[in-house]
Amino acid sequence: MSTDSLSTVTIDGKVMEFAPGATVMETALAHGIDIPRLCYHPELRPSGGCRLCLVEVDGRPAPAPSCGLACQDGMVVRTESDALTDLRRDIIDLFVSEHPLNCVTCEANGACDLQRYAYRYGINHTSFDFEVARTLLQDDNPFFLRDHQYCILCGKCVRVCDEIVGANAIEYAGRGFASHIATPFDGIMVDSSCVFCSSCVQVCPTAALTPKPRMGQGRAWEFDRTRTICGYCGVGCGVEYLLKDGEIIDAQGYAGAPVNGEFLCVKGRAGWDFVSSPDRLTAPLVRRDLAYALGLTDEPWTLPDTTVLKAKGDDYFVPVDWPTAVDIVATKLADVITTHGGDAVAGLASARCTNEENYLFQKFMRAGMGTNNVDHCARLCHASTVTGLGMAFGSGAMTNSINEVRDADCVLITGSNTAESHPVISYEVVRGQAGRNAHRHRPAAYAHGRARHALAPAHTGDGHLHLPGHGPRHPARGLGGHGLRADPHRGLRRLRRRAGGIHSRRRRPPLGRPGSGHRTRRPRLRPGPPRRHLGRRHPNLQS
Amino acid sequence: MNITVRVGLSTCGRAAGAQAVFNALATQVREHALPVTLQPTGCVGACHREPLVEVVDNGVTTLYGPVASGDAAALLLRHLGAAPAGDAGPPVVSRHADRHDYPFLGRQVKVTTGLCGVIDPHSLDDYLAHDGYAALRQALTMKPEAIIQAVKDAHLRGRGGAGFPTGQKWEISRRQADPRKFIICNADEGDPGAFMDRTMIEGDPHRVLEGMLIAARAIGAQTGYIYIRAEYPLAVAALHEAIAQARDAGFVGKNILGSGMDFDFVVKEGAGAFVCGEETALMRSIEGHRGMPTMRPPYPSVHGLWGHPTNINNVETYASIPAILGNGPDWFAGMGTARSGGTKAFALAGAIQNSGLVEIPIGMTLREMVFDIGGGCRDGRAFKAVQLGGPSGGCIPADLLDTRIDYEDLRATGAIMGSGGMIVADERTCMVDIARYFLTFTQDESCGKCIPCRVGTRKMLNILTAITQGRGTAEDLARLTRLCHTVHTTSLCGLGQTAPNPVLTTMRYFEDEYHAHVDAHSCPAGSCQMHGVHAEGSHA
Repeated sequence: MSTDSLSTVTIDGKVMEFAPGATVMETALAHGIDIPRLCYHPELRPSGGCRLCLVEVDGRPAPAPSCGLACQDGMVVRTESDALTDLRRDIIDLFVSEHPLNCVTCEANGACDLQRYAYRYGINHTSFDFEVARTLLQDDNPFFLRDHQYCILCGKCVRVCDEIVGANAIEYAGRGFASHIATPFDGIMVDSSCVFCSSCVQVCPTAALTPKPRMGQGRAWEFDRTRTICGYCGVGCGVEYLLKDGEIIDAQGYAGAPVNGEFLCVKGRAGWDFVSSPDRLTAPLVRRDLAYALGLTDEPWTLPDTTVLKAKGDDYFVPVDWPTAVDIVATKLADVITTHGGDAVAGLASARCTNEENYLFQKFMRAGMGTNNVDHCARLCHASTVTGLGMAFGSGAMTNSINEVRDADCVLITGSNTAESHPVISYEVVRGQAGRNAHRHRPAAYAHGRARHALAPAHTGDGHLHLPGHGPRHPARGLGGHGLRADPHRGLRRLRRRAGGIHSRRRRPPLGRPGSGHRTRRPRLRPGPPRRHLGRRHPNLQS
Repeated sequence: MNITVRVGLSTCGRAAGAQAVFNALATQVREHALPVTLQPTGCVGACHREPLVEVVDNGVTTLYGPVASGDAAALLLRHLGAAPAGDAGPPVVSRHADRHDYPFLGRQVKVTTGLCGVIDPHSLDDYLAHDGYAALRQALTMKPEAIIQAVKDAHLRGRGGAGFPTGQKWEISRRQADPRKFIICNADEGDPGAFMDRTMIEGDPHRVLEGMLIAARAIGAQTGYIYIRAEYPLAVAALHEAIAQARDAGFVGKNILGSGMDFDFVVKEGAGAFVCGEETALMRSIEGHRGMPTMRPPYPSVHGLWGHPTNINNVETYASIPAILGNGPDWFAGMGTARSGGTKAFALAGAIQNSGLVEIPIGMTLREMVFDIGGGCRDGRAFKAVQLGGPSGGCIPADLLDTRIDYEDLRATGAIMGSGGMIVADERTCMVDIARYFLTFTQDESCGKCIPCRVGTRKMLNILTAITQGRGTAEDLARLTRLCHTVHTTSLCGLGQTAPNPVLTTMRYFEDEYHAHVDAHSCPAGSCQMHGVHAEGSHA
């Protein structure tokens, strides 16, 4: 490969540059060439199973799958030819020879990749004998239906579960025509290691995996779509709600969302039904005694002895419109400030709000109310991290973005059950180079898929005993001028020396259920570049 | 006077009752304190006469078979000079001062199977007495590059069937900068009717280990996996036993023979999937995943087991190595053709007189193989075709019998050298049905990952089944041909790419039979049950 000039490939007559290591598929897609594909997904390792993306390469006797074909300088590729069309027609013919063409009643109609390519290549029936290979219809969990007759065995569900989520709940099973996607021993989904994040549903190209809430609600083109930020935790995933008549029908990820890409966790994906709950507070409420005093109601009322927290809205409050509510609050705040000064007021903001909202809130408190009495719920769980980061790195903020976790060679997770509380961050651990090298010190055993390389279970409050060996410098001594760079591995060696004693000779027995399979062992740390810290960003309050 | 009596106790022998024969002989020797050395051994290859008993008496070797356990006393008495008059005893296969005077063995050149049926496979001393591990000692004094050059000069090519030059493959792995390297011995012998690997491992396990040790030395590998199918319990046990013996003797482990080389073996048993014989699927299986092929490149030599450079060869390839170093690359290259040196073992099976394991110099013609060694078809029937390479291979008709057994010459016929399966078909065999049989196998063993293999082979099978049942049409033949092309061109791995070979070769050489099935709805060989819609009409 030439080092002087930029490397180029010629695809369909167009000369294009390619990123080092890029495949023909990636390069073609980046230049708007739509190579047909069923098992390819930009976030997953190529599988090469669907064979639709075969392309012709000059100098090669046989077509090659563009998803797994690395670009080489000077390579000449054709993505369309009569011969390729013939092969692709045969391949789609084979797909539809075991896939019912029930498109008119199919949930995936309009959003089905097989349908799309059958249309593109004009295949409306199979020329072979039609045989349904997979007949299982598995309704074995509350989240999605598995209808195997529509499965085309592209394996994207298997790969996303393995490479992104790390749950490894499903794999190919059986052989030949009897091959199918299954949980271990074909058990039901709820008995598997599935975490129900529905990432498999997200990537499924057909109706083999369908979210239950949207079944019978309509087809892709009938829904309105609204993109927003998931409100469940501070990770801040982009989520797209499907709406029908103003009601949420389903939630899904969308490609290119800044934090999470296309993938969500079970909470963001399935926990949206509260939005239309009749129990939800939808209008401002004013307590009846105040409302009477303000002339908003004619009925006098006094607060009973029972606590107001247990009050029902209908009993204790009267609903008002927003201008009225804002007016009441503004008047009351003005009264307090006029009488007692701004410092008589304090504001508490929430991690559920966006950065912009939190910024506005503190601005309002400082500039509007005239007080610095403003705080945030993250102080409860985040104060120690801010302190530590400030001492170690000079700033209490995180040194890296969430997406950079995947570039780490080694990840130490302490005091956090990331896979449960912030699953989308754990996806970054799983999919990164550190997937093989993640170390977790935390107070509960939790399967982290293949990502877990070493697990040192600690009793709650004992985590600090594990830590002295990890840091480049003890946090109390601050960030030295030479400590970090001069010997980035000193801490690792200290850990090796010290961790054994901590783990193996504890007074208290190791945690975890007997026989639950989690191991207590000395972490084997791989030397790497200097560590960076990623604390929990605006986490929600954990119970 | 001492007499040596050997009993072939490989799987083939035991299946025929050799263990009972051995036990009966042992009982006689013990009860009568006879001056007889009784020795278990592997298979000499004459599987059609199992159970085999070989008696070495005054320099004359007599091979008996089949021997029943009731024959034990008579057999021993005959050699001890006390045979009662008129006692015929068990049938004699051969009696010669040199066993190679026996025609079945005489035309063979045994290199990798040379000690099978001669030594006691459980005895390291026996192997050492036959120059065992001498080649390893030699290799440890050589530079790795010199070993690779010797393998190149020997013109050794991969015996798994594809025939990639072995020295070249080793060199690629050798050149990788990664200090962690693996070698793998592919003993996942899955072709129907093939049993070369099994016989070699059961009969002479140390030879395979020695070959792998030399390869490890040449490549710089620290660990060798032997991936063997679990359906070979005797071979698995033989490997474990041999590895333990070799370790005790200092051939395996740390600082081998004081050379500073560290190497150890891991025996990994396969769970019975044919596709795990494909190298990328095999590595996935070792890594603990479901055995499914992955795309190449990257090739294992560069990016193999757990991402490290990995050299994969089959059993016979490794078993050839000690002889190459021992006798020199020129000797080895001299046995074969210009581009392929050495010998190739074949599992001769089917409608052949002398079935069994044979080893021949590369370049021998199929005719010599089938008629001189194999003795032609059984019961005087006419030869029709020989199938090489199992489900990936093809059928070669009688008029191509003078084809040389060589990678290129066989490929030109549409068949392949394959790993050594050779099945002879006589006049009663329907060639459409043979193709159907192999497609039944492949479509069942497809891993399910790629559509042309998973569904395409199924549709090929459906068409072939229809034809053999008299329901086929001329259009079916055209569809079958097109489907063969698609499956061959678009399949992900070798299993699917070669699955059409049995169909394509039979269609090429036995087109008339296909037409007879679809046009006249009759089976010329008379083996297909034609009960299709037109069958009655065609007979009327």
